[in-house]
Amino acid sequence: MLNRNVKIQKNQKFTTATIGCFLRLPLTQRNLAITSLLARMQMNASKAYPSIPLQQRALSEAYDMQVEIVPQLFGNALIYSYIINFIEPRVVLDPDYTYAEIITKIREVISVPLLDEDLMNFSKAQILTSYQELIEEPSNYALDRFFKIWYKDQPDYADNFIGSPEMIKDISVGALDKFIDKDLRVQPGLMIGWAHDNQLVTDLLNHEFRSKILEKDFAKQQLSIPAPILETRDEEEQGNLQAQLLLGYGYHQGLKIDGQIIGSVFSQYLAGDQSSKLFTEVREKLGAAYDIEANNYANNCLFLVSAGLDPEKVKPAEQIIKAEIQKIAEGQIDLDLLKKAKKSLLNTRLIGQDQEGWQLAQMLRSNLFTDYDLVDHDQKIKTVTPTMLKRFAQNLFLNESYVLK
Amino acid sequence: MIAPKIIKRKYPSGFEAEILLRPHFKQHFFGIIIDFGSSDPQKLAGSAHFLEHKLFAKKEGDLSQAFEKLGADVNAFTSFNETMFYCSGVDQMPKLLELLFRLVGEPYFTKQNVANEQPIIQQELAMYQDEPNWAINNALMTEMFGNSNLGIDVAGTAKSIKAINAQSLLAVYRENYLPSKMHFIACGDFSAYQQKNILQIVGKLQKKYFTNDGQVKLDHKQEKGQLRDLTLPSQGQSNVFGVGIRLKNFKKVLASLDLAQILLEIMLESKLSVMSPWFARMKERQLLSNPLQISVNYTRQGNFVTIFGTSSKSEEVIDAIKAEVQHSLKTDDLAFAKRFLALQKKEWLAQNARSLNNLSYLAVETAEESLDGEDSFANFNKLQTMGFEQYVDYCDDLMRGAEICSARLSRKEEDEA
Repeated sequence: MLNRNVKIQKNQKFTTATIGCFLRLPLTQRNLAITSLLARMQMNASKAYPSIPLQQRALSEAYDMQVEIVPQLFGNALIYSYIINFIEPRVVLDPDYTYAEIITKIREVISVPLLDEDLMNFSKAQILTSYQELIEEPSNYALDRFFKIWYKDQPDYADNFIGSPEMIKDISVGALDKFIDKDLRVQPGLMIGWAHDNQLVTDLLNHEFRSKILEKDFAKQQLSIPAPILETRDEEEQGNLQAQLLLGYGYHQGLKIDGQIIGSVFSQYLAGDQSSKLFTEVREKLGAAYDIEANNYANNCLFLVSAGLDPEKVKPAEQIIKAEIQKIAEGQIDLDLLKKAKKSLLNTRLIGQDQEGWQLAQMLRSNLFTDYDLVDHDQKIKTVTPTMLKRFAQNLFLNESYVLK
Repeated sequence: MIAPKIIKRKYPSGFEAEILLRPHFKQHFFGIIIDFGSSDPQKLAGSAHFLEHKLFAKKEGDLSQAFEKLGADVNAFTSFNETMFYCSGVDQMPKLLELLFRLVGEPYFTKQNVANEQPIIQQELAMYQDEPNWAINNALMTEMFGNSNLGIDVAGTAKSIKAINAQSLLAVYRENYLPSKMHFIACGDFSAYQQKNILQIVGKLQKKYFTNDGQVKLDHKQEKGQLRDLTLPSQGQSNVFGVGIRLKNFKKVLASLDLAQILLEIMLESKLSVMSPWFARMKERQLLSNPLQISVNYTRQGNFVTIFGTSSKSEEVIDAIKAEVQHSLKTDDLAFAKRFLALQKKEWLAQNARSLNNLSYLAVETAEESLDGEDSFANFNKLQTMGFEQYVDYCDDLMRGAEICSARLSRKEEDEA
C-alpha cells in the first residue's frame, strides 16, 4: 500500500540519509508537557530495546544512527517530530548494514514506546534537570518570561522549552498510554527525507509503516495565533552582569507567505549581520551589546527584538531600537542596506541546500503550510521594496517590553 | 573510508594553502588560521581575542560590511592555540579572497577604535559570566593552570581588557601573525580552473599582505594551579559541577596527538557514558540522570580533561568520577570495555563520514589539523586496526600521574548552615 504522505527524495550529495516522521497535534499546555516527556522516554528506550544501554548500543551498532525526538511548535500546532539520520549504506560497504536493516531498526525504536514506571520517572528527572539548568541562563529565562507574559490569558500557548514542569511531574503511565492511543496515533502523519536509493527506502517505509494517518491531510490552513493586546512593560532583577531586553511588537493579522518573506527581509535589515541597523547603532556606536537579534515569529503575529546589554545602557538602546523601527515606518530606508539584506537572504537559501537541517525544515514547511510552495521564495525576496518594509513596520505595535537585569 | 581530495601548496614565505574539494556543494568556504591563540604568550591576557575582534576595523570602517555587500558571511574565533578568520559565499571568489587577506593582513588599530571595542568585549565576557557553567569551567582551569593565560578566560579579565591599547595590539600582531604560522584553506566544489585560480590569487595575496619576517618563538611553559576541590557560591538553582584532570603524561600515540586525544575520550566514555556499568550504578543511586560532557584537550601550555554534569548530590558524583577514572580499564568489566571499543570504531567511521556534510566544520577541522601536522583519515585507519590491549596500554600511559580537581556550586542548605 502506498501512503500519500511518504515522500523520500534522492540524496545527491550527503554521506548520510535523513528520514523525518512527523505527527501534527493541536498545541495545548497538556500536549506540550506530555509530548516532551514521551519524546525523552522514546529517546532513552523502547519496547524493542528496553534500557538506555541497549538502545544506545543498537544505534551505535548501526554506525551511530542518530535519533532525535522532539515536539516542535508552529503557531497553534505542535509537530511531534522523529528525525533520524544514518550513514548511507554505500559509504560503509558492510553487507549487514542495509536499508532494510536500518528501516526495521527505525520502526523498532519509534513505533512501540516502552511505558514503564522506572523509565518514566527517570526521564522526568532528566528533562526537569535540563530545564532547571536551561532557565539558569538569563537569556533563556528572559525568553520564557516574555512568552508567559505575552500569553498570560492563553495558557495553552504560554509554555516554552519542555512545557509546564508541574504538569510533567503529574503525568502517569496510564495517562501516557491513553494519550498515545487516543491523541497521538490518530493525528495526521508525514514521512519525508532523502536517501541515495530513495525508491527502495520509500518501498520499505510503506511496508513497515502501514497506517491510515499517513493518508490524512497533513497541511493546516490556519496556524497563526493573533497577538493579544497587552501594551505592557515588565522588569525583573536577578543581579546579572548583563541585562536582557526583549521588545515584542505585535501585528493584527496573520501573515500569508508573501508577508512572512517581507518579515524575513525586515529582520535581516534590522539585525541580520554586522551591517544591519541595530548592530551598527546599538553594538558599534553605543557599545552596549555583544549580540542583538530581530526575529519574526509569523505564526505568533510577533516581531521580537532581543539583546544582551550593558545594564547601564538599556534605556538608550531601547530608544535606538524603537527609533530605527519608527524610521522604517516613516519610509526612511537605507537602500544599500536593503539590497545587502536581500542578497544575504538569497545566499542563505542557496547555502541552506548544503545543510541537512535546513533542507528538512523546508520540506516540513512545504507540507505543513498550504501556501508554502505556491510562491517562488527567491523571486519574492528579490522584489521586496522599501514600501513593503514601510508597511510592515507601520503594522507593528509595541505590545510587550521586558527587561531582566 | 572516503577521504576528500586535497590540493596543497607551500610558498617560500612559509605560508601554506590547501583546497579541499566537496563536489555538488554550493557553499564556498575560505579561511586563514594562525598558529597563535589565547593561551600563548602575550603580555596582556585576552590580546589574541581582542586582536581577532579588532582586525575587522579598517580605515573606512568595519570590513564585515564589504563581505556582506558581496552576500558573504564572515566570522572569526580564538581558541587556546589558534585564531581563525573565515568567510562563506556562493560567488565573487576573487573579491572574497582579497577581502579575507586584507582582513588578516592589514592591521588598523587606533586609540579610538580600541576604546570602542572594549565595552563590546566586556559585554561578551559578561554574557558568559552570567552562565553557571562559566564559573565552574573558570574555576577548573585556574585550579589546573593557575593564573597563566591558559588558566583564565579566552577573552582575558575585565582588568586586562581595559589595559589593552593600539600599541600593545600591534606588538602582539607583529610577533605572531607570521606567514610561517599561517595556513589558508578553501573548501567547496571548485573546478580545475578555479583551483588553479585560487592558488594563483593566494600566492599573490600572501606575498602582498604577509611580509612580516619575524622569528617564530616557541614557548611551551606549563604552569600549575593548586588543584583543589572547590565549592563556589551560587546565586541561583543550578546544580552544575565539573571535574578537571591535568594530564602530566599526555603525549603522541603513533606520532599523533589527535589520536592520543581520541583514545582518551573513548576510554573516558567507556567508563562514564550512559552505556557504562558505572552510569547504571549512578542511576540506581539517583545520583545522575543526564549524561556527563567529557572533553579531552591538548595545548602547548598544558593538557587536560574536563567533565561536566548536573546533580543535586554533586559531591558524591565527583567522588565517584574520581574513583572511576583513577583505575585502569584492565580492572573493569573487560567484556564491556572491549565491546565499547568495537562500537566506538564504528562511531568514528560515522563521525568521519558525517564531517564531510558540513563544509564549515570540515574546513575548520582540516585547517587545525594541517597546522598541527595531523591527519584525521590516517588516524581513523590507525584506530580501526588497533587491538584492545594496545589501546588500554596507551590509555594507562596517558593517564599516568594525572592530577584531579573539582568545582561545584553550593546549595541553599549549605549556605544557611
